[in-house]
Amino acid sequence: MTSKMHIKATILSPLLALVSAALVIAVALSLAGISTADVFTTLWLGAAGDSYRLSETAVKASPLLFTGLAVMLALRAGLWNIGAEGQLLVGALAAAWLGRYTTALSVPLAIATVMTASVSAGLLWAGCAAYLQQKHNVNEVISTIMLNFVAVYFVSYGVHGPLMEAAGQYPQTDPLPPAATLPRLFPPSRFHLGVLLALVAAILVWFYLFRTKAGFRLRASGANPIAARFAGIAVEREITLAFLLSGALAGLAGGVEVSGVTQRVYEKFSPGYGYTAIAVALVGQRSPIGVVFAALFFGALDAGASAVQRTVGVSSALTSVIQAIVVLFLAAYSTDPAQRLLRMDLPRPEHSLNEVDRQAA
Amino acid sequence: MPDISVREMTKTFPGVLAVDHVSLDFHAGEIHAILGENGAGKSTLMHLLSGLYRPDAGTILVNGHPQSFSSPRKALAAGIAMVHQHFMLIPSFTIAENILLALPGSARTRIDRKAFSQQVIVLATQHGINIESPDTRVSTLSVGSQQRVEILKALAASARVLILDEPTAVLTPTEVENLFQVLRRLKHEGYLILLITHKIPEVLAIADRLSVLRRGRLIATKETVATTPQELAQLMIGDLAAPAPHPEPGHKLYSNPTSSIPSSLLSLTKVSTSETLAGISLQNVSLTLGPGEIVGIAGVDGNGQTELIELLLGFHQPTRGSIVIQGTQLTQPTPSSVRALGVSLIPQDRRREGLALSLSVEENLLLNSQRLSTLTPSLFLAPNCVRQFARQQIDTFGIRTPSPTELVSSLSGGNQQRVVIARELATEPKVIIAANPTRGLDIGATAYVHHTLIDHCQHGAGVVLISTDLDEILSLSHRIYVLYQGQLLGPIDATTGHHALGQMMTGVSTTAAKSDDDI
Amino acid sequence: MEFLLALVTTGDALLHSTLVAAAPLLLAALGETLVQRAGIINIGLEGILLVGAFAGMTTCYATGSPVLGVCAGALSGLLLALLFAAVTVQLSADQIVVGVSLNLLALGLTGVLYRGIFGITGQALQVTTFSPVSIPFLSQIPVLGPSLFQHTVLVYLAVVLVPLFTFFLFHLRAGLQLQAVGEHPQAAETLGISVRKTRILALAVEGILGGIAGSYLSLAYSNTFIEGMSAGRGFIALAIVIFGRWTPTGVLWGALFFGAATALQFYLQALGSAIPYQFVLMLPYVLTLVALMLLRTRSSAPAALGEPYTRE
Repeated sequence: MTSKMHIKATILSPLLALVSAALVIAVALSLAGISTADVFTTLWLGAAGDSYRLSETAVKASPLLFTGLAVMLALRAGLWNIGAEGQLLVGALAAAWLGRYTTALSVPLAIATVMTASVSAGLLWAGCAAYLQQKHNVNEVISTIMLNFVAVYFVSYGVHGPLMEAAGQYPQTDPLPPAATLPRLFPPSRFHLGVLLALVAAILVWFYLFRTKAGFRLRASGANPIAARFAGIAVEREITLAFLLSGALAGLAGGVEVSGVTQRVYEKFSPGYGYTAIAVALVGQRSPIGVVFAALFFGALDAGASAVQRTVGVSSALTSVIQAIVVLFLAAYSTDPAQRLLRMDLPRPEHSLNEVDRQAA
Repeated sequence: MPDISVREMTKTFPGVLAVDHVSLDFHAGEIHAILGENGAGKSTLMHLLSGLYRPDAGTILVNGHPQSFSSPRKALAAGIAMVHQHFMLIPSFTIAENILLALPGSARTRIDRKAFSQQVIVLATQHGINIESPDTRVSTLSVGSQQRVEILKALAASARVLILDEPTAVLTPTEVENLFQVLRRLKHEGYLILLITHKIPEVLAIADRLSVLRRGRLIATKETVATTPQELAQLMIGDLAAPAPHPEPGHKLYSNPTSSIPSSLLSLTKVSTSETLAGISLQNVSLTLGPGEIVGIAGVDGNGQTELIELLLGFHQPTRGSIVIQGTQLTQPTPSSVRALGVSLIPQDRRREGLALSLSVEENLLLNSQRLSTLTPSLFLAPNCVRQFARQQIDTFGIRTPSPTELVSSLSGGNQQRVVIARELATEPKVIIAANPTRGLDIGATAYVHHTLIDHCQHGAGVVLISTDLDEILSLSHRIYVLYQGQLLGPIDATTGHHALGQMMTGVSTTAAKSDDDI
Repeated sequence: MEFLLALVTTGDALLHSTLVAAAPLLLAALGETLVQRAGIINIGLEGILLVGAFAGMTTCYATGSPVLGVCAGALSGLLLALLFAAVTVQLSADQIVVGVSLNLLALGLTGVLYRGIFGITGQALQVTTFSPVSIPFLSQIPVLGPSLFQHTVLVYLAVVLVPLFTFFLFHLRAGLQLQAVGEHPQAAETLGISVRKTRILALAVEGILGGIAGSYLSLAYSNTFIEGMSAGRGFIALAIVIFGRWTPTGVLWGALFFGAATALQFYLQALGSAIPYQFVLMLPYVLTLVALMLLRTRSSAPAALGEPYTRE
């Protein structure tokens, strides 16, 4: 198909999925006797009602953008990184751990140290799964999920034990020293430098994928690993590299969250950012620009949902439901039968006008 | 035993009229060939008969009664079975299990493997079909054996009409003879055999009658004894002035350029590789290639072609022997290091091995490690650079595409092959490995590919042509080898005919060939 | 002598705990085996367990009957599995994507409904659970009797299904047909086997079994529902299918192994060992990784596993 048709389909699919999901939610809510209008208005107001709310949306979108980029990068290499959650957690933990030693450093250096720690931790965590996949043929979906669970318990151990706050009252780390804290750009809102870092990361990922040879090799390996191998590309190496980069991005997400928002690490540090990231990457149609918009959307959903829980009384777990339904519709709409129905028909090469290449005739 | 007729059969796919109001009569007890070029509609017609496709118009008559088949199962119930070109066997199941599943029966039946195996043996003996023990796993069988299992499967399911789709495409000449024996016997027992093929010599050898299809239309039906190969070729192509579909054996399309120093481009000396999952290993292979030469390697698929290609491209280290490319000995090879020595590959399966269908034309033109490194020295890919290079190649190689950013999946097969060739030849390789480069292409595209390869040879490159098409090998090669079960036999005299080559492809005779060892 | 007695008693109790912990894994893994043999990967199994646990607990809370709870669990699992089937089999969508969304959906739905129905409570609500049923005669056998034959009904169900499934897969024509679908769907189709129907049926069975396994968690293994209580068991079941090489007997051994590891957790904690409890809790997950690492299983997988199939 032409690239124009391709772009059209890329934007239409997620929009259609969102609208369909909204319809389903509306129906479900009315069946449960809850006012749909109330929920949707509260969602909207909660996400964008005033400038503070908007800044909250941005703050909530930032970890989703990092992890969404992580999952997207892996997908481009033909890889499923379901482990962004665990990589984020170890990234956060590493940041909290190393951050303790940065009190004497200048702000840029302290932040750089903390970020490096989180990037390295995420990279190493992903490296475990990458190693298992390459050397022992372990399916990366299962291994990354297992590592997620291990990471959760690891954090629990850390905040109950060696990294517990000096006061010893709650299972959480000490706050990061001010030097290692990402500055708030528009106090009193929580909008911090990390949000801009996330946008920079998106640009860098875009540049990497579409303007460098390394990025091309990565995309080629994901598009057709067999042809890529014949082309002289070291496919296994590209996949491992993509896995590590993905882990690094997810780890960074954790570091930025600690440094810019929470200052501490505690149990249930992540409300499932790593899993939402999968929805972000898919709704973003595996493109960095799309991921930015998708992260914003899901960040808005997050911000709005806590308002919904407070005022309307529907649990914020609703966001998971919405995410799931959006992704389901997206998956459904990208299939052949749905494409034909929606007349976003991709001309199938088997039945192209060339008489010769028809396998059947 | 039924007589089958089709009346006004029509089938359209998006944009293509595949079968155009075809009417034919077939009789029990005959072997009837459906002859035509790639894309003539013969497979589609037979798929309509066997229930895989549903016709847009027309009727099927079985013994005069109109029938319609909504599925292959229904067609089988009427006695019509198809043996596909790509076998429909479950590789991990045994012969007996495969045949068992072909029989009608309740899902709740208990399987008695021993008793059933006995039944299979009885059936095979009944029809004189030679198969291994029914408890053998299908994945371990040779292609010829698998085909016999498919035939037995159809017979076990009480089929009276057997449709065979290009059955000899993957067989050695000996196996072809075996198949023909089986078919003749079945014919005498009253079965109707329909043969889909594009090979004129075979039609003349085995069929009683034949029907020629061209562009979906029935051109003619003839008694085999009442026609000649020339007439059939003309009926198939439809144009007296056009060249014959394949050059006559032994007749060279182009004159020989002389080669200066043999072996200066590529030299394999007594190379062996380890056994792959498919059970094939190269043994003691020796080969040389000089500038301006085309070395043809004939052989039936599955005798080591893939292994040879992977070896030449540097996928793995051989267990014994040495490979020298343009004077450099290969140690610890990788595909990118080998390509850097000036090797290019036109792969066997362009969609699977040569292109990334979800990427654009210009991106596919970059899908080559050598191209990537020589395009620009930097780590970055400037879009202008990429675009310019793509436009150049599109011009030079005549790739028909609306724009370089078009997804390569929307190009026709011929144009996709041009993309592959443009990419692989643009790096000015000295060693070109061309594996079945004209598979699935029409006459014009085939001629283009041949012309391009010869052109590059005349500018000093060398081509290793690995092909299952004997005519292609014979008309292009300066020296010919045969790959059989991992061994390279040859070089063979270029005037050798099909039959002698065929014998070497089955290992029947090695005396006509001298291996490079003896020189 | 006393030491020996203590060892036997501990071993005995361990055996009992192993079976208790293994049962839900076994039920879930058997269902997934069927589905994977038909060529589909359903990582949404985790979600099926979760909805089963929730539906089971809620129904039991409302009716006081654990049996009705299990039925509700089975039904909810079935519905989720059919949703999966609709999108992956009917529409041939990507199985991993749909599986992930299924888990998210289950997590979200159970969260919303739990708080919607019960409000945010500090304590876990308790329900009546299944009581163990002693098999007469066999449970009297010294030493092994009680640990093997004094279990809840669901444990017996899980174990009994193993030979049944084996018989089905390898000795019944329908089982061979199912395998054909997972090995070579196109060939199966030409043999008159409906790939679509086979896969939907397999998923339906998995949904029921997974739902039962889930309700077992809230109605037998424990006596309450906690958000996210499936705790990765669905994924461990996936791993068990792989080590079991896609056979019911293999899956039984895998489930027992993990059941033992889980049972060991409590013993290690009880022994008051110096190991921080989080590392003990990590055990099943780390073990999964180690086991997958050590066993070479690529070649035994159904050939067409995970590839969407569309009929021409």
